[in-house]
Order: sequence, then C-alpha cells, then structure tokens
Amino acid sequence: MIDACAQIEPDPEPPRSERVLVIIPAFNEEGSIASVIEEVRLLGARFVPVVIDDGSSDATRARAIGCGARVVSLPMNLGIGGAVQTGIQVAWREGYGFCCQVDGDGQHVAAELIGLIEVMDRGGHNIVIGSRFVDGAGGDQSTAMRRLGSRIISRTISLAFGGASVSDPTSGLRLIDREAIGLFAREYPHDYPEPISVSIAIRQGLTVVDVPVSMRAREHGRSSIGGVTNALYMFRVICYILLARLRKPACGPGAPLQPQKDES
Amino acid sequence: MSAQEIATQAPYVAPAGKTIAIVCLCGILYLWALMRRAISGRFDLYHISMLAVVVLLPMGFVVFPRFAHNLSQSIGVAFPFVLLFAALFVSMFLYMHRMTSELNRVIMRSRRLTQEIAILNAKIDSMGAGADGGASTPV
Repeated sequence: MIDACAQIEPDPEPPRSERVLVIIPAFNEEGSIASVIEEVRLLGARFVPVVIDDGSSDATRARAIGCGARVVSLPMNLGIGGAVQTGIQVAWREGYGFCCQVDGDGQHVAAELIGLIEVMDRGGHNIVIGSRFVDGAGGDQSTAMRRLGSRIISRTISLAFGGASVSDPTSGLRLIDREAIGLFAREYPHDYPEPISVSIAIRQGLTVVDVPVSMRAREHGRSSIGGVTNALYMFRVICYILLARLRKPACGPGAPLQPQKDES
Repeated sequence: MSAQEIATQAPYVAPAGKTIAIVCLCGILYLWALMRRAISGRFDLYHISMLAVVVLLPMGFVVFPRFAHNLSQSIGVAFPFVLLFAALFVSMFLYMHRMTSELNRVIMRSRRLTQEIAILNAKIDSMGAGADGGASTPV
C-alpha cells in the first residue's frame, strides 16, 4: 500500500472515450478508502476514480472527499451490485470508453489495471477479468472452499455457454468496454453480481478473457459471503446463470439508454 | 363406486341459522374494516376486492347453500367446503402472484431512483464546488 492522499503531478488528460472510470464501491471502508484512491491516481490521468459510497455509516465519504476524489453517495445501501451499477451509469452517461471495478476494501491491486487495459487495447474482448486462478497469478488466492466454489461456478458457465472459459468468475477486478458499459447500465444483477453479470454478457454475445493478477487479503471490513451462506450463494448463482442462459439476447447492448455527449 | 357417483350421492346439508349469523357477522365486520382502510386511502380498490374475497366466498356459501351444493356436485366435488377452500386458495394464489410481481417492480424502481438521486446529488455538489472555485469533485 502507498501513502494515502499523496500529491501527484497531473498528466495531460486523454479524451474521455479513451479514459477508464475506476469505480470504487465502498461500504464502511474508512480504513482503506484513501489508499485505494491514491493507488488508482498513481496509474495516471487515463484512470479516473469515482467512489460509490453505498450508504456508509462511517467516515468513508469524508475520507474520500478529503482525498479529492469524486464521490457518489447512495442515500441507502443497495449492495455491491447496485453500487457498481451506479458507477457504470455514470460511465455510460459521461461517455467513458472503459470502466472497471476496484473494491474499496483494498483487496484489489490497482496497478493490475495496467495489465488489464493492455489486453483491452489489443482489442477483441469486451470484458477483461483479473483472475487469481490462471498461470502467472499471485498473492492471496482465497480459501480452499471459495476456490472450489469458484471452480464450480466456472464449470457451470462453461457448460451453460458452450465452453466459455472464465477461470475466476467471482473476481471483482474487471475492466469492461463501452459495449459492456451500455449493457450493464441497463441490466446488472444486484445480488452477488460478478458471476451473473459475466453470464449475462456472454449471453449477449460479448467476449470475456482472463488475465492473471495478484490480490491482497482483506485488510478492513469483512466479506459479504462466508460461513453457512456459501451453499446458498452457490445455489442462487447457479440458478441465475441457468436463467441467463435461457433468456433471449436483447437487440443490442445498451439500447434503451443514450450516452451524453463527450464533454472532454 | 366412482368419485363422480360419490359426489352426486352426497347429501345436501343446510347450514344452521347460527352458522349463517356468525359467518355473516364476521364477514360484515371484516368488510367494514376494509372499507375504513379504503376510505382513508391506505388500500386501493384492487387490494380491497382481493382481500374481500376471503369473506365474500364463505358468506356466499352459507347464504346460498343449495347453489353451493349444486355447483360442487356439478363439477364432481362431494362437499361444498372443499370447493370453498379450493376457490379461496386460487384467489389467494392469484393475489400473491400479482403482489410478488408488483413488489419486484417497486424494488427495481426504487433501486433505479436511488441511483438517480445519488448521481444527481453528485452533479449538484460538483456544480456547487465549481461555482465556489473549488475543484475537489470534478464531473
């Protein structure tokens, strides 16, 4: 981790269609939010952090504003899916070419976004997922139970979508392009959204690729998934994946929403 | 003996006067309570009518017992109360189905509204910061 709220020389800003809106969903993450924001800032002017304060009762919002970050405060807690979708809607309306999610608990290494954007810039993919379970990945690899759960979900997606390969479907560290932004601005699952959103995207014909990344263990707060809820989580996620498979693809990603004019 | 034959041979039993009085009294009290809620605007007409079915059906069965008996026999049900419970179950199922659908729609709308409020608030904050010469929250 780096020093929070350090002064960084601003780079010249690229056009908004090339910039990446970095969505930082945060619920009671006052202990880690400042360092996450500064970590994102260190990546350069192409990466624009926006903190989605998901109805925190602690000083998360104040700390983020103190670091000069843009903060969108939800008046009540919507959960991770609702918070991330809020950020995606900001990205869609303001004409960002890409957006990604970096959790506010400090678990994600923001520097890994460089690797993700490189893969995205090479083209051919709509969603780039930072995976803990492919060759070259390092850092915290979660518990054995969660790795097993992730493997089961991965296998379900593969079976449901004709061999689609997503090694870490529960990873929140992911970069999406404009087409996927349009889709998720309109439709994004609110409960346990990561694996389900991947399924929706694949069903809509978007392409997904894994990139090895390192992640840290959580420093503050606690995960929403754990203990006896694991089995229920697995069951619900698998049902949602199958539902996503049964649904007809829409006419095109983002059809009902119109982006605002690029202001850059 | 087939089920249809059993149904047609089931004897007609008229409800006692006390039964009719109690069911009607309870029904009227419940309808009165529902009407008060309707008048005060707490329930709309759809909810009132669906909830009223819970008392209107039993009242109909005890006030018109011969009709209930003939109806149940015509569809092969030996005892009218079986038909009564089936009708109540179907009406409550339809109501629950509609309520679930409505609840889901309301949840989706409130989520979207919450997101809109948050985005607009952030925009207003950033405009205020711009007017004050501050630039801490660029939009």
